[in-house]
Amino acid sequence: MTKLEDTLSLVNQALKLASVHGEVIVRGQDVLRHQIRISNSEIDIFKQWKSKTLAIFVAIKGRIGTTEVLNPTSKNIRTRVNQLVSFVRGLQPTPLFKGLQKEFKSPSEVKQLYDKRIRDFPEQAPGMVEAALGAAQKAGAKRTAGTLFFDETQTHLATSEGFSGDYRESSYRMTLRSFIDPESSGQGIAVGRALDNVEGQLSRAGQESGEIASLAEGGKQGKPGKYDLVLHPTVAASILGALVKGANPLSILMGMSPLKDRIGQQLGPEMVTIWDDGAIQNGLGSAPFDFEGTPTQRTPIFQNGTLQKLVHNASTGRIMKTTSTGNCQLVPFYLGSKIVRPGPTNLVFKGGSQSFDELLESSRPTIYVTSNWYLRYTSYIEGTFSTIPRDGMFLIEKGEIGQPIQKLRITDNLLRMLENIDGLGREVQQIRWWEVLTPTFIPFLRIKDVPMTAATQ
Amino acid sequence: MTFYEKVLHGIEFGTSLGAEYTELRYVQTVMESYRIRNGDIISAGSTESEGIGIRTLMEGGMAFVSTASLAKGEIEQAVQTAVRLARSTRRRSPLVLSKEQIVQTNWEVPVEIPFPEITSDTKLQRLLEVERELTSVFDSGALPIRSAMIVTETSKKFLATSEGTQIESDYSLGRFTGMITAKGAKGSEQRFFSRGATAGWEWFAAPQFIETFIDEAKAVHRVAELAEQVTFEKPVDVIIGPEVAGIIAHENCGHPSEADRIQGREGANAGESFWMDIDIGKTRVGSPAVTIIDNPTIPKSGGYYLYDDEGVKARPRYLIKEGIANEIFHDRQTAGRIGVLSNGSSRATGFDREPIPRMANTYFAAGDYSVEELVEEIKFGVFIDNFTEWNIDDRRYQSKYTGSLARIIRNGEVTDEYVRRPVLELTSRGLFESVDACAKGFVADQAICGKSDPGQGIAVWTAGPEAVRMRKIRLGGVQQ
Repeated sequence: MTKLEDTLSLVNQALKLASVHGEVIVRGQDVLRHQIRISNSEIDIFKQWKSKTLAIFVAIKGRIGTTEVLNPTSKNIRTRVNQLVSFVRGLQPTPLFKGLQKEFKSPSEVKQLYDKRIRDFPEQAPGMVEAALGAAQKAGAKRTAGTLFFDETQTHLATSEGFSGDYRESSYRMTLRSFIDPESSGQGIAVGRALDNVEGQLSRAGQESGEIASLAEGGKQGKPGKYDLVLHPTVAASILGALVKGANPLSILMGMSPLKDRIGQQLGPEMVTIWDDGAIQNGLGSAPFDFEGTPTQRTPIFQNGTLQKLVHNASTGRIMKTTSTGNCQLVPFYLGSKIVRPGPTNLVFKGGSQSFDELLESSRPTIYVTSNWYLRYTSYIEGTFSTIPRDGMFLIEKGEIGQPIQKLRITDNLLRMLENIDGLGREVQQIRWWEVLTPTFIPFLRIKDVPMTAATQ
Repeated sequence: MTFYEKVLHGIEFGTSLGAEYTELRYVQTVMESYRIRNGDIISAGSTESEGIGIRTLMEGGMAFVSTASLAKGEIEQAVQTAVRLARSTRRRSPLVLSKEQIVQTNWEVPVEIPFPEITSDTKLQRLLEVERELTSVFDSGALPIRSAMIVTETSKKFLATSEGTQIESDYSLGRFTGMITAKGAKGSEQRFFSRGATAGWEWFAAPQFIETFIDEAKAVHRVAELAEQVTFEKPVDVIIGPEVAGIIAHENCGHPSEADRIQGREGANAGESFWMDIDIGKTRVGSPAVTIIDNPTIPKSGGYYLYDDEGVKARPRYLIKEGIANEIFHDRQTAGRIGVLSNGSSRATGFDREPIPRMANTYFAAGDYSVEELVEEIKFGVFIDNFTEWNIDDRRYQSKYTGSLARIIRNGEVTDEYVRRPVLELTSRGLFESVDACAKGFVADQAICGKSDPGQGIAVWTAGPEAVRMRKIRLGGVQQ
């Protein structure tokens, strides 16, 4: 890691050069990231990424553009700022930019954002991975594949409007997938920022993956039809998270969200309350402030089933006659450029009143789905989609996990699934993996009358 | 010190530390993009990345380290870290790389007008022409959301290995995407499409750029205006257009034939493969009418390259030959594991990603028929030109493709009866076994193929002949 004052100096250089021309945000980030990849119960590769990046956003008379400077030096900062300013001047004004955040409150206090023990983690990680693989094996796994990431990041942000702030963060995330045979598998996830009992967390993920895989052995072709589904938090985060991420003015504008103009409408049952929370303890999407320097906050998206609010940055807040919710982000927009827009931080579902066993209690045909992938839409604007369960999937028989089944597809509509939630678990778990990019705190869910389809030949 | 000298110094340094294999790949990439929505610019910018990706093999373990700093000391430190991390993996079964020919060469994408020579204003004006043409043809109510995007990419690469391979390359890729929401008498329909070519600005300047948007908009608007829900009680013959054939070639054949999936290396991410269970070279996975090829060497293609990111010469791969599973995508690691040679499939999306087996341009081989000949033998069926939703399980066996532009075939002719969202929900085998004929021609779409974690979205073409015919398909998926 570079010294904080070195990053600060580079950020200020860029800010000084660019702010002569217009409104500017400069974010300096030092990242030290590691990954261990595993397959066939062995480490395939150990990776390290070390990067220092300046991200620069410039707005000149309503024209906007972004660039990034890798490995910044005084010389290349000057060159890239000049290139960016010239590039932006050649564009046309965009109606989506209404100025940066002008007023600043104190940054949010985020507990457990940084754990200095992350520095020693590269030496300890291979041993902890072995322990997790051992836990999977003990639970029945014949072989295990997985990825473990662990990061340390230092961020300094400054804007032409007078904001300056910095923070350090650490995080880890692991996905382990155990196999009994090619068609009988289970997955476990461990996610966090603080390294308290990290070895235990990784081993717990290993154990869960092994247990699900063992239960999945001997799976049969599932029978298509309508079922009540009990969704593992991993699946609930993928499907319901896809809907909640649509509470975003840009997604709505692009026709990528079924939430459209539904603010104030009761779209789900009373038990459903969902926040975007950029300051939640241990959240992988948490930070003290957003890309404009606005403090992060807890924003109610759904309150007792009613769509309450969209997330905003300063510009979309002004357009929709409200204020920023501390959700300004610089994110890739397909390819080649990044866009400054509102985006989700951590999605947080309020826990319900039921235990896992209580969610399974039903006389209706019910399936328990432990993992899924490949969620795709026929129509974003309608929310019509399908996704494919993977890993263990089970029929629920007399309130207990029964016959493992395979090869069914969830084919439904996001709004209908929200409306059909009829059970919420008590315990909330943070999910972040390959298929769930927005950290999501979510319990087990029960959803009624979900169409499950299968291949015809 | 030039970057060439720094790369070669890094190789020597790795060898001096005792590494069994050291590879340094310098990559400098500039990507630029512009996106408009209903005529307004909503994003524009450029990303430039430059750095070195390092792989080392030490005591049978592999490490990958990337550095954006090109200082000699930083490169040495990165190589040292790679050696240390590789050793710390403590593998029980040592990794082995296939023994490949040492190559010293260079290659480039032929370009008439390099992207850097075109101003941002010119690029933007070309994009805005799309909006002007669309609004001259359609009322704004007919196409309430119109989004278009141009992406240009240029890169320079220098790969060197401790075995002596040194390859330099210059690359240029242009692509555009469209996203259209159409409104008609039957409701709203959405359409996403993408085209691309390894070329320069001359490719965007050609008339097909605007024509594609107009044709696509007309098609999706017709669907929104006319398409009716049809329930197919019995199996029907189906003809798929090149876009559907291309995605099927990619998803149902290309992905399952990636050796790293077959060997389990993507197990926790992109998944494994039903090809794990078959005898490659012997097992029949489709009818004799099915031959699927992946060929990176097609000039101007979206997945073009001549040497892969491990220095192995690219060549066509016959994945399925006349219905028999024939060949799989190898990098040096997967090939070394089973004692064969790589077929040049190893690619990385940037200096900060490890190279892994990837597709390039994957397609059904053309047949001898005209489209009319394929259609005229069908009494009742469906012609599905393109698709919206698709997905497939992580063993690449249970797939689903929902048609967008789809019309009824009646008595040997394609009618103007539009079908709303017909669903092909089929297994890979069920799908390939149903194919009885392919038309002539070759039509390609640009796509981003996703794989691995951290993600490596790589440029590919999905392609096919003008039509592929499938017999007795039960449409709609099984739903009770």
